[in-house]
Amino acid sequence: MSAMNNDLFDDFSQNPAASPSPPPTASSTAPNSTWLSESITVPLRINSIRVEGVKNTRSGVIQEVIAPALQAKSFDEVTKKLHQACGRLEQLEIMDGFEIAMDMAHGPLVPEHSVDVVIHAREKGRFWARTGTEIGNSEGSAHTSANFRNLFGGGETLSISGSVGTRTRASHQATLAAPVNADPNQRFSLAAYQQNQTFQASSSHEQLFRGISLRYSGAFPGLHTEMGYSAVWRQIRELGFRASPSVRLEAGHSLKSGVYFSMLRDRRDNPTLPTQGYMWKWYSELAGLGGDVRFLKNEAQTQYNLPLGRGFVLSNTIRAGLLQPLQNDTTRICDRFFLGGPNSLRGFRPFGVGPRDQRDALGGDFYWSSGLSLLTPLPNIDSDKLKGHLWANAGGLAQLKANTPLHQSVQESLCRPTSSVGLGLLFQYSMVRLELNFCLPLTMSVWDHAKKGWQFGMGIDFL
Amino acid sequence: MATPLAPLRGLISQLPFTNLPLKVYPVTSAKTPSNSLRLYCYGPGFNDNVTSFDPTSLRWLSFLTFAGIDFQVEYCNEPLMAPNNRLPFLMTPTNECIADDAIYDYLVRTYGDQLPTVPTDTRPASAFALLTLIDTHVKPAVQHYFWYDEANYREQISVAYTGQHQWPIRWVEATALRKQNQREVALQFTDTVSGEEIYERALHTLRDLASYLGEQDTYFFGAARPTLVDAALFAYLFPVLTSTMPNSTFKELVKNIPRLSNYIRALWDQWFRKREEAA
Repeated sequence: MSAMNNDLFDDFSQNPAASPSPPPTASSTAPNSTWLSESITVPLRINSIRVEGVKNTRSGVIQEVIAPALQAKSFDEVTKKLHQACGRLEQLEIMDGFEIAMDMAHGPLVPEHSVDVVIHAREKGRFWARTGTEIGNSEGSAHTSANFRNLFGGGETLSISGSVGTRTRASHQATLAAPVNADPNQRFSLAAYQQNQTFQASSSHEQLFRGISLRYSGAFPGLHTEMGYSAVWRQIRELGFRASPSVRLEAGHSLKSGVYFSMLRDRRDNPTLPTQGYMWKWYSELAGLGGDVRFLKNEAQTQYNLPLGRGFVLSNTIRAGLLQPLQNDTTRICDRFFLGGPNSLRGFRPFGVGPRDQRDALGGDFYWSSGLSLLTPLPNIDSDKLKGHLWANAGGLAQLKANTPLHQSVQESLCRPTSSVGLGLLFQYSMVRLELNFCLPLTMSVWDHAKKGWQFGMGIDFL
Repeated sequence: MATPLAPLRGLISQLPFTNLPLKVYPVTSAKTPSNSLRLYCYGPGFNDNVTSFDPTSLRWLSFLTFAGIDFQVEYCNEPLMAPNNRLPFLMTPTNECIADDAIYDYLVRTYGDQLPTVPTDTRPASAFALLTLIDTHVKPAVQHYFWYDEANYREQISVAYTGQHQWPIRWVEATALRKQNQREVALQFTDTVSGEEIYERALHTLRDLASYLGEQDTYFFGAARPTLVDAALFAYLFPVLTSTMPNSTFKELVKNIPRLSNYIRALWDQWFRKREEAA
C-alpha cells in the first residue's frame, strides 16, 4: 500500500469520545503510543468495501481477494487483512498504487463498530515488454519478452519470450499462467517451448527440445512445490565429424512424456552467499506415460550453513541423483547427470568428471557430490559481499550397469571419489555469486579432466 | 641450459601439491573401440535382411559387398547420426566419419587395388557417363514411385524410413523427407511433367542400359566383378523390384525389361542370397 488515509484513525486520535471503546482510563498522562497500541485492538468490522479503479478485472476475483478482510473483527485485523488483500492484487499483477480510506459506517441497519472501506487503486497496464541480459549457472544470456497481464480479468498472464546465450543457441517460449482462487502463490501454467542448446564443447552435439508442459506451482508455509506434466520431442543432432561413436549412437529423436514433482524449503538468510540457515530440495520425474523414454529420476540437495562467529561460516552442501531406466529402456545423454566445473565440483572442468568416449562426456546415471566450505572474513575489508573461503569438494559420477546391483555401483563410486581442495575469494554481485579459486585436485579417474590452478566461477548455485 | 630459476623450480616440483592429483583411478568400464569398417545406413530391405530399401544406402552397401571389403552394416535409420544429417556414412576403424562423395575417395585411398574397376580398355568417362545417366534419369523415377504416390508413401515408404519413431515425430519426419525428395525431382522437371513422363524417360534409359549390357556380359563393361555402375543400378532397381507397393506401376514397367530383371536377380543371387540365408 503506497498510502493510507485512515479516517477512523483520525476519529480515534482527534475525538476519543467517538471511539467504540472508551480510551484507557489510566492513560491521561500516558504516552500516545500506548494509547494507540491499545486502541488498535478494539473490536471492528467492515460493513462494506468498495474498490475503485477496476476496469478489466472480474468482480469475482476482487470478491475472492477481499473476502478474508470481511471476516476481520478488530482494527488490527482489519488493517492487516486489507494490507494482505492489496498485496495479493499487486502480486497478481492486477493493480498497484493502492490508497485505502475507512469511515465509520452509518445507518439504521449497520452493526456498531463497523466501517465502510474504499480502496482506490490503479489497474496495471495490460502489456509490457522487456529486454535484458542474465547470468545463470555458467551461462550468460540475452532475452526479450512480451507480456500480457490480467488477460481474462483474473490475473492471468501470457508471456512470449526468446533468448540466446552462451550455451543456448535459441530459446522461444510462450506461457499462459492463471492463479488458482486468485492466490498469487498457486498457479497453473501451460507452456509451449523450443530450446536449442549446444554441447559441442563438452559432448559434440546439440540438443533441440520442443515441448509443452502443464504445471502447478504452490507455496505452503516455508515450502515451495511444483508438479506438472510435460511432453517433449528431443533431438540429439548436429554431431559433425568429430563426435565419438558413443555420442553418435545417442543421436536421433525421442519423445518424453512424463510427470515431475519438486519441493524446495529454503531457510537461508541469503541464497547467493548464505551465512546461516538451511535449504533442501527434491526433484522427482517419472517418464514413460506415452513416448519412447522410460525412466525414474530423483535428485536431492541439502545445504546447511553454521555461523561460527566473527564472520566465519561453515557451509556444507550435499547433492545426489539417480536415474533408473524402466522396462529395459536405456538412459539417454540428455537425461543423464553431469558433474564438474566451478558450480558443480571445483577443480575440474565443466562436464569434466565421469564416463567419456574420446573427448565427449557421456554423463552418468548416478552421481553424488559434497562440499565443505569455511567462509572467512577478509582482513581490513568489512563487507558481507566479499569473503574468502577454504573448501574441499568430492563427488562421483557413474553409469549403472545392467547386471550390477545398484548398491554395488553406488559403493564403487563412493570408494573412488573425485576430490579437490582449494581456497579463493567469493563476491556477491546482485543475485550472482562470483568465485575465484585456486584448485588442487586430489583424486580423480583417468577420464576426468582436472583444472589445477586458478578457476573462475559465476552463478547462483554452488557446492 | 640451467637457468638461475632452475633450482627454485626443482624445489617447487618436490612440494606435495605440484604432484597432484595424489591418486588416479583406472577406468572401470572403458568403451572397447571397434576396429572394423562400419556402414551406417537405412535398412534392411523391403523383403530381406541384408540389403536396404534406400537406394543411396544400397549403392554403397552393394559396392562394399562387390569389392569384398570386410565391413559391418549398421541399420540405424537415423540420419541425425550422420555428420551431414544424411545416410549413409562410413565409420572407419579409427572412428573417422566419412560421408557423401568422400566415401569413394576414402575407399580408393584405403582399398585402391581391391576395388572393382572397369576394364582397362574402357574409358573411365564411360563409367562416369553411365552413373550420371542413372542418377539423372532413373533416380527421379524411383523417387516419384516412392514419394509422390500417396498410397505407396503412406503404406510403405513412410513406414520404412520413419516407422521406428513415435507419433507425431514419424509423421513430421516423413513429411520432411517427402518434401525433400519431391523438391529434388522438381528441380529436374517442371511441375507440368507427369509421373508417366518421368517413368517413360527412365524406361527409355533402362532399355538403353539393357542394350549396353548386352546378352553375354554379367556386369557392365564386361568387368570381372560388379563396379560402381552395377552398384548404382542395383541400388535403384532392387528396392523397386522387391517392394510390395499398393501402386506398382513402375515396378511392372521395369519387370517388362527382362534383361534388367534377370541382371538384378543375378546380382542378388551371387552377392546377397548366401548372406540372406545365413541371416
